[in-house]
Amino acid sequence: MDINALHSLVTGAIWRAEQLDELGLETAASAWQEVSKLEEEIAKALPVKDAEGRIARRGAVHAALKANDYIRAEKLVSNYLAERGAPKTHCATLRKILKADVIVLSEEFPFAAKYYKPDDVQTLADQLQKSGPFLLAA
Amino acid sequence: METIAFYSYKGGVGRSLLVANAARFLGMLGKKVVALDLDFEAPGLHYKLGRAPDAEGKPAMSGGAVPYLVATAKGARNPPPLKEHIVALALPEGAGGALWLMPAGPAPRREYWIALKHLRERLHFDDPSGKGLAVLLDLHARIQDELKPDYLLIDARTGVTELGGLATTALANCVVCLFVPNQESVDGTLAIVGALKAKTPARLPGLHPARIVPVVARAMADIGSEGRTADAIKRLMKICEGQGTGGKSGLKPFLLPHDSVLGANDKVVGGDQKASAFSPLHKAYLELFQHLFPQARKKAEEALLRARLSKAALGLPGAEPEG
Repeated sequence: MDINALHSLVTGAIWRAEQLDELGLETAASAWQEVSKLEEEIAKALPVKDAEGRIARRGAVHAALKANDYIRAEKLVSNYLAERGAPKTHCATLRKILKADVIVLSEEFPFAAKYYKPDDVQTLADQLQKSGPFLLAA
Repeated sequence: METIAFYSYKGGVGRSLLVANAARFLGMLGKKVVALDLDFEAPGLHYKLGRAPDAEGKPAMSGGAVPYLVATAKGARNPPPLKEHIVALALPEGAGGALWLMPAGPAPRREYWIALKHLRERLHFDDPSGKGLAVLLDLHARIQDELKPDYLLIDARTGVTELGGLATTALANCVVCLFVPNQESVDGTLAIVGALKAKTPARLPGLHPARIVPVVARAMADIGSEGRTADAIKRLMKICEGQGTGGKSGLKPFLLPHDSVLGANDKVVGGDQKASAFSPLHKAYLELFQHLFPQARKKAEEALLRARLSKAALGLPGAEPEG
């Protein structure tokens, strides 16, 4: 697809996702997934050396987190960090985006934050995702 | 706050009834207790603790753990008041303690199943971002901070589920594992206990490995000492490191005998001085509670002694729950 058409689609998708988010509707998450996928398509079309290409990569990760799809966000970051020629500042920003999600976790859940470190909570959640309840599938 | 999760690999073992009795027992011994129903797919703790819907089906309360978790699924910066979701239950005069119930919600009303559907859509406890888990940990921490109970007793979901797993691994200091003495139930329990006692269990740093107390439920007679099931129970007791009866070796699990009065009618004992019979199940409860709640051991011993000396003991089968 033409890059201009993708830009136009992603602009519309972001507007829609933001509106749904504001209304607190369940469909906001799937709207953000759509944004993430469109940004990913733009990122595929533009090299990482290109400033717009880097913005698209960050946008894809941001939108995946907004969609509460941490696995996708992590996977995208891992792929983008492995890209040849990725500037160091770009890599640091991508890592920060994931890290910012951890900070949000402690702000959103103040009672839990008194007793648990967000990193530990994420590690356990990740273990459970990979190995199932009681880690029986480990 | 000590958190005790009551878990069973298979259902129908009298788990909720045990939670209700333990909660009431502790309340009567002057302890502050919260009973939390995390058995979202088949909630019933509110029935056992006298908060069943009325004759027209109107629920005793509209709040509970499911509506609370739905309300905080996206963050708990402005959480709803806890009192909308937790109810204080009456204890006999002079009991000295406090007993709160956080039911799963107004089950089996339609609004409960709608709330549960919303919860499943909004919250995944194994979401690797940690948000699903944080919602549950936040509730646990809030109960600890605001109600300051001595004990939180959790009625955990049967089988292998995310929530059942988290109740036993991420929240509890102690897990009471109920099973019936048949191969299926014992084998499943062995798998779970093995996972709870694994070298790298699913636990958060700082939380000590849970004490696991195996309990044989609905026992019709002696469970025997030979055969495949008996061997599996021996293995279970070995893993649980002496958390049973039989002196220091602790090789025998606690036995809760089948009780047609208490079991079939889901009665809660405690607080009633009028009944004239002393149920074997009630006696077994007291023995188990002595082991489970070391802080309350002395009072439990006194209660047991009174029960042995006189059949007009504290709380007897047939007593209607209060509240």
